[in-house]
Amino acid sequence: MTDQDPRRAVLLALMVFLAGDGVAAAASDAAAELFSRPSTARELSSGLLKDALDEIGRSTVVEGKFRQQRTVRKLPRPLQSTGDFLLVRQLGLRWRTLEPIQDEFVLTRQGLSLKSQQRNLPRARRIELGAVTDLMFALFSLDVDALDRRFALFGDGSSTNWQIGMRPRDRATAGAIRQVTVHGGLHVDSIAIVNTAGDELRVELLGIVAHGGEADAAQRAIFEPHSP
Amino acid sequence: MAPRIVARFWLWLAALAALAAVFLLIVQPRLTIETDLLDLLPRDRAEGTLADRLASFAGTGARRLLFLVGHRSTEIASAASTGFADSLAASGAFADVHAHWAAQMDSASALYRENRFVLLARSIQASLEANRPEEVEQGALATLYSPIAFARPGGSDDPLGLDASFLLEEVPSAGAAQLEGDQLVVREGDTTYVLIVAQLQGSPFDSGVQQQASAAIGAATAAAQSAAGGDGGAIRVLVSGALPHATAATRSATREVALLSTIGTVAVLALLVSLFRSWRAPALGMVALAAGGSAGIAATYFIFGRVHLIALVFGSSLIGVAIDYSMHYLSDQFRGPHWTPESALRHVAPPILMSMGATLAGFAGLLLMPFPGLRQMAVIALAGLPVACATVLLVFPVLAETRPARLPAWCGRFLIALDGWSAGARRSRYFLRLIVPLLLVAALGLVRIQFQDDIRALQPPANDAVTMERRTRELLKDSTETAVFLVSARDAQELLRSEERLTAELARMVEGGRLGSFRAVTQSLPSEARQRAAFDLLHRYVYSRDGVLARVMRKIGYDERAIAAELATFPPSPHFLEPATWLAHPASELWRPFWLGESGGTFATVVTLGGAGDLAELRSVGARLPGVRFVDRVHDISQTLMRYRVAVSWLLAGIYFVLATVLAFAFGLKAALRLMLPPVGAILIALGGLGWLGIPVTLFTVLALLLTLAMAVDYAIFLHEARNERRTALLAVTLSALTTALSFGLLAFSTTPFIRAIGLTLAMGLGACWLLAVASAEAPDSDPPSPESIA
Repeated sequence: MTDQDPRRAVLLALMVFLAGDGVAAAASDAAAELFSRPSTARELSSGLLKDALDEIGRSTVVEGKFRQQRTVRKLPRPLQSTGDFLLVRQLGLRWRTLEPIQDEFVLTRQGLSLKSQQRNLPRARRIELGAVTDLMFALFSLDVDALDRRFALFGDGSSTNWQIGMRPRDRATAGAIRQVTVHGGLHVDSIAIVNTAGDELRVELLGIVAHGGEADAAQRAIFEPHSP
Repeated sequence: MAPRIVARFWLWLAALAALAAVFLLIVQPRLTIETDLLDLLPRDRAEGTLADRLASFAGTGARRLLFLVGHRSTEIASAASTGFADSLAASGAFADVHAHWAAQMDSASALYRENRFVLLARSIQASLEANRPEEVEQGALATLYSPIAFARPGGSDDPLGLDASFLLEEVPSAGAAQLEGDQLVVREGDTTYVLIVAQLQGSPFDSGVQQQASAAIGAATAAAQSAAGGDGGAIRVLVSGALPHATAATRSATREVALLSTIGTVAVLALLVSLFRSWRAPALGMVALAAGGSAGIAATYFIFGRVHLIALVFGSSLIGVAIDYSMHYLSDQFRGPHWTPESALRHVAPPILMSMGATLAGFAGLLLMPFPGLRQMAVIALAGLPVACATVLLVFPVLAETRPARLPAWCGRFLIALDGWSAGARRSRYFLRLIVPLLLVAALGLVRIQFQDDIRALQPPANDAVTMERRTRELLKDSTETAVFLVSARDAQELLRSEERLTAELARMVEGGRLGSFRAVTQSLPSEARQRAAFDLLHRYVYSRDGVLARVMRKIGYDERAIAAELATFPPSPHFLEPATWLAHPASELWRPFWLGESGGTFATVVTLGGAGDLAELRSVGARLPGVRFVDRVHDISQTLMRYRVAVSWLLAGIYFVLATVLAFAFGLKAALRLMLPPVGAILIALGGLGWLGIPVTLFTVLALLLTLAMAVDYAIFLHEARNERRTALLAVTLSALTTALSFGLLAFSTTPFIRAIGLTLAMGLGACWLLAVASAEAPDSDPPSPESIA
C-alpha cells in the first residue's frame, strides 16, 4: 500500500478531470474537421487543455453518473447502459453499471478487481481488462505525453469547449483502435473510441459532484483489498 | 650415442608429426567446447526414454530466448522490434523467431471455431457444472456492456463471448506482456518494450552456436537501431535465456584460462631459462606438454565427439603431471661430470614409468563411473600421459643437452640449504615443530568443512547477463520455475485425464495465491471426457430452447428468428478434437514442446509452473496423483552431484588403499608408510585449508584432490628412487611443484567459483605435497646415521 505508482496517481487526478458537466457530445461531422488539425502534446497542454489540466489538481473526491452507448455493427441495436462512478484521489476508481445489468470494477493502485456476481470469470476478464488498463489510464488522466507516444494528436476548439482527437502511431495500437475523440471544457464531457472493426464506444459523464475534502469511511472501504 | 636411441627418436618423432597433423587438420577445426555443467552428469538410467524426452524438452527451453526491444516511443519500439526480429530470422542462427502473433491468434481462433461445441473455458465449464448458468449469462452481459470490451477479439459472431473466454484462458502466459495489435508489449515508466521470442538452432552451451548467435544478436541490434531512424541510440535491448549466461561463462572461463596460463607459462619459462641457461630445456618441456595435450584432446574428440570445458581444465592440469617427467629428466643433467643421456635414461626411466603407472591406475578408475565428464578426464589422462612420457624418454635423450651441466650457483646454494633442511627435518625436531603442528591445524580445519552440492552455487557470480535476466523477469513479471510436472500414461486419453486431475489441483493453488501460473496441454486440448462434458453442458444450459444463448440474444435485441437459427447450429452429436488433429493444426505450434508424445507404449506431457511459492506442496501433489511426477531438475542435479562427490571420495580412498598396498609390496611396509605421508598429508592440509577458509567442498574440489594425489605420488617415488642423488631429485621435485603450481594454482584467481576452488585446492595440495615429500624424504643408502637420529 505504501508504494505509489505516480502514473496511477495521475490517473486518479485525471478522473477528477473526467468529471465534467455532462454536456452532450459534439456532432460527428465535427470529427472530420478535428482530424484535419494536427497538434502536439506541448501545444495541447499549454493551450486548449491548460484550464482543464489545472482543474485536475483541485478535487480529491469526484462522483457522478455515466451514460454509455456501445455500437457493434453486427448487433441488431446499440447497447446502452447507465451507472455511476466514484473517483477518490490516492485510492482509485469504481465504475458501476446499474442498468440494464449490474456490474462493477474497481481500479486501484494495486490493479484491477471485479466485484460482479460472476466469480468464476475473473481470469479471462482480468486479462482482457489488463490489456487496456494502460491506455485507460492515459486516456482518463489526459496524460498527453503518454498519449503522444502512441497516438498522433489533433486539437480543435477553445479552452471552454475543446475536442482532441487521436490516431494510433504504431502497428500494435492500430491493431485494436482506429481513433479516439475526447470532448470537454473545464472537465471532460465525453470520450468516444472507434475500434478497428468500426464499432464505437461512447461514454458521457453527467451530474458531477466534486470536492477537495477527505473521502469518508464507506468510500474508502470500496478500495480496500478484498480476499480472493 | 647408441643407434637404438637415435632410431627410437626418429620413429617417435614421425609419430608425433602424425599426431600434430591429425590434431591440427582434423580435431582442432571441429572441436566444440561444451560448457553446460549438466552435460558432465549422467542421466538417470531408470527413467530411460522418458528422461531423454524430458531432457529434450528442457533443451528446447534452454534454446529459447526472450528479447525486449524498448524505446520511449511505442511507434519506434514497434518498428525497431520488427527490424530486430527480421534480422534475427535472416541470420540463420535461429530456428524460429516470433515477433508478431496475429497468425497465432487467428489459428487459435480458427481451431476454436471448428471445435466450439466441445471446447469450453475452464471457468465457464465450472459455472455450468455447478448448475449456475446465470453466472455465464451475467458474465456475457457484463462483457457486452463493459466500457473496455472494445478490444475483445471475436465480437458479435459469438454473443456469449465463449470463444474469447476460451482463448483468453488459453493464452500462454507471457507474464505482464499484453497483446496490442499483433505484438506483445510491456510498459515501464515511459518506455515501451516489445517482446520477441526466438529459438536457437542448437544448444546455447555449444561454443559454435554461441558465436553465431552473438553475432546475429549484434546485427539485429544494429538493425533495430537503424529501423528506429535518428533515435536509434535510445533503443534498449534486453535478453533473457540460457544463451547470455552460457556465453558469458564461456568467455570468462576461456579468457581467464588463457590469461592465467599465459602468466603461468611466462613464469615457468623464466624459471627454466634462468636455471638451464638455454631455451632448449623449456622448449622441450613444452613439446612434451603439447604432445600429451594434443593426444589427450584428440582421443577425447574421437571418443566423445566433443570436449567439456571442465574436462579440459582438469585434463590439462593432469597433463601438467607430465611436466614432472620433463623436470625429472632435465634435472638429472646436473647429477655429475659422468652424466650421459644413456645413464639418464637408466636413472630416470624407472621412477617415471612407475609413477605414471600409479597415476594411470588411479585415473582408469574414473572410467568405471557412469559420469561423462569424469570419463573425458580419464581419457585425456590415459591418452595424454603415456604420450608425454614417451616424448620425454624418446626425444629428450637426443634433443636435450647431451653433456653434463652445472647448476647456477644460486640454485646450488638453494639445493644445499634445502637438502640440509630436509636432512635436518628428517632427523630432528623440525619435523615435530613444523609438520606435526601443520597437520594438527589442518585436522582442526576438517571440523569446519562444509559440503556444497547445489548446482546453482557452481555457476559464475553476478554479471551483466544475470542483471539483464533479472531486469527482463521484472519487466515481464515472469518467474518460470525449473521444476515441472511430468505426466505419463498408457494411452493419449488417459494421459489427458491424468493431466486434468493435476491441473485442477494447480488451478486451486493459483486461486489460493500459492502458485502464479501453469501451462498444460489440456488448456488447449482437453481430454475427450472433458470435451463430452462440455458438449453436454452446452446442450443442456446454453443451446437449449430457453438457455443462456437465447436469453442473452433476446436481451441485446435479436429477434426470435435469429435466435432459432443460432440454436440450430448445435450438432446432434459431438465431434471431438483428437490429439492428432490438434498436433497437425498450426494453433498447437507453441504447445507442441509440452507434448512429449509416445515412446515405448508410454505417452507423456510436461506441465510447467510459474511463480511457485512452496515446492513441498507441489511435490506432494505429484506424489499423490497417479501418473504424475514432480521433477525438480535443480534439486535432482544437486542430488546427483552429491552422489558423485561421495562416489569420487570413495574412489579416492580406494586409490589410496591400492597405492599403499602396491608400495608396501614394492618397497616394504616401512618405506610405504613414509611414501604415503605426502599424499595423505597433502589432502589433509588441502581439506583443512578449505575448512579454515570457509570454502565449501564440491565434487570439483574432490577431483582436484585426485590430481594432488597423482602428483604427490610422483614426488614421493622420485625422491625415494633417487635417494642417492638427493640434490637432483630435490631439484626435479621442486621444479615440478613450482611449474605445476604456476600453471594451475593460478586458477585460484578465477572469478568462476568452482574453477577458483580447483585452483586453491591444487595450490594448497601441491604446496603441502612438496613440503611433506621433501621433509619425509628417505636418507641416502650411504648416508651414515647421524648422532641425532640415534639419540
